[in-house]
Amino acid sequence: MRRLIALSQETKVFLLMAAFGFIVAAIYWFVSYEPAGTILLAGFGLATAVIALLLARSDPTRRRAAAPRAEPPAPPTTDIGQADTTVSGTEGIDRPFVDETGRLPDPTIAPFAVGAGLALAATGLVFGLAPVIVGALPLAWGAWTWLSSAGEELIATEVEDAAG
Amino acid sequence: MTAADTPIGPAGASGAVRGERGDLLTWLTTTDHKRIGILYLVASFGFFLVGGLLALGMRAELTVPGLQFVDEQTYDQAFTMHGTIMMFLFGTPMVAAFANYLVPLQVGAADMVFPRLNALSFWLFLFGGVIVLSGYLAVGGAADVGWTGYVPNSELHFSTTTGTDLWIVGLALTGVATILGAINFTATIYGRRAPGMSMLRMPMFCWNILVASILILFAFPALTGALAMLLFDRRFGASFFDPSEGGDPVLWQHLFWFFGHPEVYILALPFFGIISEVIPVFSRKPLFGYRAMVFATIFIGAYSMSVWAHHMFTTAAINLPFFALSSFIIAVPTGIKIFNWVGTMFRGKLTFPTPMLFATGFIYLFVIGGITGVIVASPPLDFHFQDTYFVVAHLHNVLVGGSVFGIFAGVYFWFPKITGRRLDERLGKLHFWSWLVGFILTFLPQYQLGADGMPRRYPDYAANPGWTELNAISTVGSLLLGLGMIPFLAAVVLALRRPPDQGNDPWEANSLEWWTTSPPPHHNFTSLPPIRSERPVFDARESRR
Repeated sequence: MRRLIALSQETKVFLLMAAFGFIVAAIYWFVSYEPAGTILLAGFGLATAVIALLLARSDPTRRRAAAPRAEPPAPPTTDIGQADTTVSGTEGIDRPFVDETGRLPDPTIAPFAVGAGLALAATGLVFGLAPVIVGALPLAWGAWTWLSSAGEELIATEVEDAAG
Repeated sequence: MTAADTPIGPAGASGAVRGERGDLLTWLTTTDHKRIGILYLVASFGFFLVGGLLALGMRAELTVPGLQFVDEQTYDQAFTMHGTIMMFLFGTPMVAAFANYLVPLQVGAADMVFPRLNALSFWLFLFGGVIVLSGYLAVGGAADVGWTGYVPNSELHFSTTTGTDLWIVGLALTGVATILGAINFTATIYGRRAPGMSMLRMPMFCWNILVASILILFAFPALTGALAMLLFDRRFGASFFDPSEGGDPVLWQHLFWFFGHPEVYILALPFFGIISEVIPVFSRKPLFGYRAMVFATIFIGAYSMSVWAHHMFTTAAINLPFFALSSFIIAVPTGIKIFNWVGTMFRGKLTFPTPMLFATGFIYLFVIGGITGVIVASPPLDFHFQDTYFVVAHLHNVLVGGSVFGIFAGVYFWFPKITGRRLDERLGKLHFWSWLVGFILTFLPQYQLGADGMPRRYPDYAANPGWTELNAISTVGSLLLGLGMIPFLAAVVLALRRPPDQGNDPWEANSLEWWTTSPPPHHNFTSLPPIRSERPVFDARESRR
């Protein structure tokens, strides 16, 4: 029980929903013996429980309890106009990020291309193979562009981390 | 010196973005959450105008019995597309619009966790919406199965139009877009909060978006799955819902409403959040019972997953007491919220600019929607009201009186932040009063019509005593709603023609978005105030006085 109480609020939200899903699924089954609703409710409980477990495993409050006490972070600035160190740290590296105050990606047409390609391809379910073929082109190009730029960002981040 | 007239830092003022150009390509290639939020806002508002015109057409058709300027098929398509547009192409993406623009700003982040995925969400939604509407170009016209798409009406032998297939494909795409958006909102709220912003210091809007996002994650897959099954029934010879082949039509209703009832709260909770932001600002008080509001939000979210079959009372295939009781219980946390909003206003220094007018209108109309919801949650009464105009009026009380009034409250409230300009107060008040009066005239008569047994989704009705007059009043009300959009659109156009003149914080508000410039720079913040409560900007302002 103490461990449950010590969990972060983030985890507790999902844990509460998981408990609710399982309890209501059990009640629902015994009052109705109706499978579709019971499966849906139990599925809701199970899915939220999985997320709660994953969150609990990476819970910062648990990590803090296990780790030696660290120095508290410096208080954030209150002066408007002064750079906020909590969102900076990418200066001095020729990188693909959009500006030097945060890790924001460059503007890219890739999401538009992927969206258009997917939408076109999906209409193939109604109109046959032709829209699938037409949609596959922007979809593939968009996905390639997307992955390439994500890869560049990853490399730039690693360079930055290595530079300290 | 208030936050509104604080000097703006150099980085904050520039907002220049490498690779961005000031043309259409900027909008096509953007991954900035604020631009994506604006794209959602404009696109869903465009869909809203289309859906509204369809509604006006239907109300015109019903002004007097025997009018029939459209045939039955066209009318079926009109109410199908009206419901679909308002639910999936206006209401749900409006949630994404506000969440996109505000969540990173309110938690003190530079952007969403997954900016490109965020852009993909928008494009999938837009293309999905276009596919749904493209049904009007298909042989046989648009989908004609109602926004609920009940089988067997939506099976191929009853709905032969290709428009229904496009409706299925388009909705599935918008569903995927909504799920991707919800992943982004949840991850951003969990992983990008500024130092000091614990969960219990988050603005109520973010709490409501978080719970709505969790609902989306678990409710929308049920819809997407059901739509895929229906498409397989229609196009590939499957028989998931065809009883003659061993399928089960009630399964569609289970799957649809397992999505559909949480969807009501997906459309309501974010606007509860907006109201929870607006009322404290114009009451000059902190939100009354913040923790109770958080608990009520989580409770509503969880409970909304267990009430779906109150839409299925008349199928005789569900347990009536279970769903009646659970539907009654969900009124309790909703009541807590309403009590707390009124508690916030109680003995506050109240002012009533347009956002506050829409917020109070929201409370008034949502309470009516809630009370009539309790009425239809009672099986004996629901048997009487099923498929009548009573249900139509109740739904609109919740989703127009609730969500749409919340949307307008939010637009008037955050317009100065988004554009640096304020919407004209006189036009705003004209907009509000025409909508409040128009809404009451449109939908209150429909409760009486429903109680008298007038069925919904018919293009004509018998000239029973009183029905013609009530329908005529309803049509006049809808016309007022339509005309009420003119001052709003005029206010937007006039505001955009003026230079930006609003400071960071024109309302003297509470949450972090009011700390930065209006509009904010690309990376949102050049500094953050200390976060020691759920009102960091209020705290910073007070500490300077």
